[in-house]
Amino acid sequence: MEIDGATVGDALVNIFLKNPQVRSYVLDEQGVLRKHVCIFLDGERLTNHAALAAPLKKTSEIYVMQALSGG
Amino acid sequence: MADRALVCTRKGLFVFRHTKEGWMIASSHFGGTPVTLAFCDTRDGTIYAALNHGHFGPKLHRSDDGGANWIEVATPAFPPGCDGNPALKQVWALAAGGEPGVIWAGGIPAGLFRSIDKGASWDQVDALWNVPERARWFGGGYDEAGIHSILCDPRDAKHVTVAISCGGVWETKDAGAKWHLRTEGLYAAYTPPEQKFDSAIQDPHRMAQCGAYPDVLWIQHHNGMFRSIDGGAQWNELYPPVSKFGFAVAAHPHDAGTAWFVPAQSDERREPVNGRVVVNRTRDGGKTFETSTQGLPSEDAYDLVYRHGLDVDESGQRLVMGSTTGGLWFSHDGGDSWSMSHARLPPIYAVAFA
Repeated sequence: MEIDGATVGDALVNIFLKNPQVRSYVLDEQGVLRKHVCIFLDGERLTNHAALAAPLKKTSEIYVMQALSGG
Repeated sequence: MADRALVCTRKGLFVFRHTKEGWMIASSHFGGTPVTLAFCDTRDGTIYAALNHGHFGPKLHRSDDGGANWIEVATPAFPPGCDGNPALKQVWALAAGGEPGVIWAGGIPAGLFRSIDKGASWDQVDALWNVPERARWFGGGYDEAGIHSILCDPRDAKHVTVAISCGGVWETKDAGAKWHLRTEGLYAAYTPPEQKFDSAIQDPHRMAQCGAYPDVLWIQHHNGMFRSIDGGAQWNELYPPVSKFGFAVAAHPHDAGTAWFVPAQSDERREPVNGRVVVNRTRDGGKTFETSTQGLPSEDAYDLVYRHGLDVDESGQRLVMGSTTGGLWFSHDGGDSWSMSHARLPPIYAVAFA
């Protein structure tokens, strides 16, 4: 999916506008990235603390992935 | 008598039906996803299931057709600006009370929420979150305190009592605007002696109510079993055989003197005493107990029954019990005897007749 945004957080907000139900799967109700969801930007994994504020280039590629946790 | 039971496990929800061949799995849902609680609103037959995705947080689903089909509804959530910026980790209690469609939910952290539209939307009952005693609450079994029991008075929709691990027993008589503690008689042996009777740090593992006599309440507490006959104003300790430690308690729906407890070896171990799964039943208000063993594992058992792992149906005759090692038992004679339905389900978090 192609989406606009100056930061990862902006891009996610634009996705949530198209599909509001996705929001609670990626962020908690306080807007914090869920602990076991991780984000890769242009091939590099971002720390959860810094992920939403990470700046995007015009051609940036974002992956929202599940952490390898559970059992 | 109930012929349908909901079994919530680490790998989904199983709907059991009683048939000529016994209790059988009729359908399964949410495969692979932890289902931490299920609840049937007997007023309209609506069933609710609380999920706890490992990655994507807690979610709530509703079935309007007896568990065959499910829709995702809103999950209770702490509002922006809520003190401490909490985020819900798990739905830990569900109850029905008041007008049709009104549902209460308790969570970890210990937020209380109310829906007037069968879970389509939720409002936090913020007066309970804002009591000053919350500063003394702490987690019991989980990192944060949680609400696991919500009792709605069938005589008065504004009267609700909740139990918190570890935060005591709280009562409102005005639908949640004001709350006060109801822990007289409970005690904590897991704190320094000066705090033994601190109301706000008590750890009631589970609280149950007699439907026909709503002032009769039972608690399986971290340090013992208790009964109240005055809505929680005074709790009286009971002295059962086997062990006073455990998590689950179920109250008979009509008989104020009858309740069931599942004892376990004390908190250092959290397993059946001497490897034997048993159920303690009292029929005289806790003066005496009978220990039921018939049909239950008699050796080498490590089945722990969590606080939502025991339920009794509206007749008071049928009981269902599920364990952490995936054992599932039913009783059709009020707990005199039990029969194993399944031995190897996924770990069972909760059971409920529906």
